[in-house]
Amino acid sequence: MPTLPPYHIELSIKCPFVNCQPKVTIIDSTTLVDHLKDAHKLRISNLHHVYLILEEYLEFWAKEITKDGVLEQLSVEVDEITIYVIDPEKLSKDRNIRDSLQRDKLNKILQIQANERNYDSKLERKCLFCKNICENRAVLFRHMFSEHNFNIGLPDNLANVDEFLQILEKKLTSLQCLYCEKIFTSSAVLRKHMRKKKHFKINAKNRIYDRFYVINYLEPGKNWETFEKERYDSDEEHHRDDSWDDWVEEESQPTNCLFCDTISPRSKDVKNHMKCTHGFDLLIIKRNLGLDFYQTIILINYIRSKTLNNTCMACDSTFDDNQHLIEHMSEKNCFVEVPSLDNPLWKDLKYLYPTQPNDPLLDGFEDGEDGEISDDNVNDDNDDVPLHNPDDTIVIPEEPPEELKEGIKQLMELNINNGSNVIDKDYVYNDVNI
Amino acid sequence: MADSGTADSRGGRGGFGRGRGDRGRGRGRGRRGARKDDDKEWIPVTKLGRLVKEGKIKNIEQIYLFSLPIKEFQIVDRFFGSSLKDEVMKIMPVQKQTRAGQRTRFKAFVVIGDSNGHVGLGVKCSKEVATAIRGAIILAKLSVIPVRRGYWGSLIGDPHTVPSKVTGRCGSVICRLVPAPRGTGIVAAPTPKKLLQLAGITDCYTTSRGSTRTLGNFVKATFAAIGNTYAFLTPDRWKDVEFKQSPYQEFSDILAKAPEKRRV
Repeated sequence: MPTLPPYHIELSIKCPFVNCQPKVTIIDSTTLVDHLKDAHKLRISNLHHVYLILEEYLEFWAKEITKDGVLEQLSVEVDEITIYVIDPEKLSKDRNIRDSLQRDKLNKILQIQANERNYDSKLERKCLFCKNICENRAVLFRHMFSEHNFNIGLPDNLANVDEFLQILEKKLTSLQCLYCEKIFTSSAVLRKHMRKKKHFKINAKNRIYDRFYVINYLEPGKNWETFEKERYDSDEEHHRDDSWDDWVEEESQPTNCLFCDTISPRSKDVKNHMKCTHGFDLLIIKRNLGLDFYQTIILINYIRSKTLNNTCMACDSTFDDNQHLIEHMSEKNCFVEVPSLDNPLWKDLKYLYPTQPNDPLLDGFEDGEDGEISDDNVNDDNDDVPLHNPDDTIVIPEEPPEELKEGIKQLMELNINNGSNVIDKDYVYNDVNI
Repeated sequence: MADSGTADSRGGRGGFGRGRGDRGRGRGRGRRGARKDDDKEWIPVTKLGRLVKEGKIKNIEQIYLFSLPIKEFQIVDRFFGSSLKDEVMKIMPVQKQTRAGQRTRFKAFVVIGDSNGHVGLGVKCSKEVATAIRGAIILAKLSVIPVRRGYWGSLIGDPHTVPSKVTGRCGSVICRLVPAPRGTGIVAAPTPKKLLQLAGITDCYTTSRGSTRTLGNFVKATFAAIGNTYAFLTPDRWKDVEFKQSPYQEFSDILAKAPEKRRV
């Protein structure tokens, strides 16, 4: 059997280039190289650098080639016939596309890994070599290492672990040794072989395992072997790298409009929507009524619960569905008619609990113009710390007078007896654990 | 919620480490005979470490009382054992321009806590994901702070919310925690919510200002706010407290003895 070229790897890919009819499925890299040369007169330099992003890469070039003027940019070499060469070192377009595709793939893989860390790795699985069922992935890996001396690395360095383990299982059931890849006649013989030769590991040179190790996605052209060699250089330059401010990520928090069915990606957007479409400006209302933090929370929860029942928050009339409610509110201009402060709803504690679980509007209403965040510890440690906030004061007198003590006792009883608490604004409601 | 397993389970086992079977070379560690002992003998190198190892310090609150810096993560392990759960918030690739071109590495952001009054944050960069996570966990343990919790309204049961409104700031992000009645739950964006859960705060409102897209700063601001719960001097702590001796003085005789030499 002729020796295979060094970077030979099994594949299963359809050639995406335009003139290729019918679409052939290519089963390994050597065939691919030959096919590209013969059918499309192309040679891709260092093709093995892009194995992990092969499909996307070939598709990109399939499209590029058809554009005007691109073929001229490629260098040419003659090897019986004229061949065009795609080389990242000569063509910055190629280098850039390789980097960006690699970057995308890396992020996707990290996302997959994050999902696995949160879900898959908590599932139980049977050990590859014995009957033991391990309750989660960490236990499984530890068991395989301690009982069978089987080391494929730490689960944190791997992605698509289920697929990986399945491939290994298939090899074992088809009686193939994981390391030397020879086939044996029965599983007992296979076991004996692996034990004697200490082949309870995978073949490091086999490139089909590369895609399961996250480190291979870091930089195009560098796989884990290069990183191993690089291990000792400049590992000390770490000091500046451990900052938190390069983690930039928008967390999507879909927020419902208080009145209609619109869902916006962020609470900021929903506030704008309510201002523009319904004329309901939360900030203005807050300022005009002089609402403090807790009152704003109460207002939001109140409106949500009214809207859920298709009831108008201002005049309390109920309708059959949300459409009618909105129509009514725009007609009668109820959007600006927030219940006045003497309405008992403001004292109803049930509105302090979120009407809608995980309601992003509840943590998104304090805005820049507010003077409210003139809080204690914002600007910092050495300044005099005011002992209470201008609004919502913590009122703790030196020695509570008798009447107050009585009042507190009664309130406690009310608490225990009813469950529905009526709290007066003047009272202490930010007690601390004494 | 918090990740599976204990905070120290992430393959600190000797040999059960890098890559996949180093092409047969130098795989000796861990392969011969028993696994290298994991909590092999911790030889403390700081005074505090020595005192903790000898058991002279009963709990971590004694260390917090004197604001002693903790430089060895084994100290934290001693006090918390397996009650500290870690959670990886994010792994992201970061690039650095070097003379030899670009260098990409993985950066791990980890939060750790016992859901009962202690929480810590750590970040670490490394070529391999597992190494980054391990390093970040160690740094998170070193940064564990106590969280003060209080009541809203009635003083029945255990403390469940922040004792007062507290704010924390990092970069352009300001995060504010506001006390909430029992049963409210944590009203916050997903990532700071994890932090608050691991801190042991059951009910809390939050608001934030600034560029909360810089999630790193947002998390740090929340952490700062949590830390400020003990920084805020509420009237119930106005009473004079009897000063005690710092552990370094109290146990100075033990510290004076020559430390154990590390077995080479």
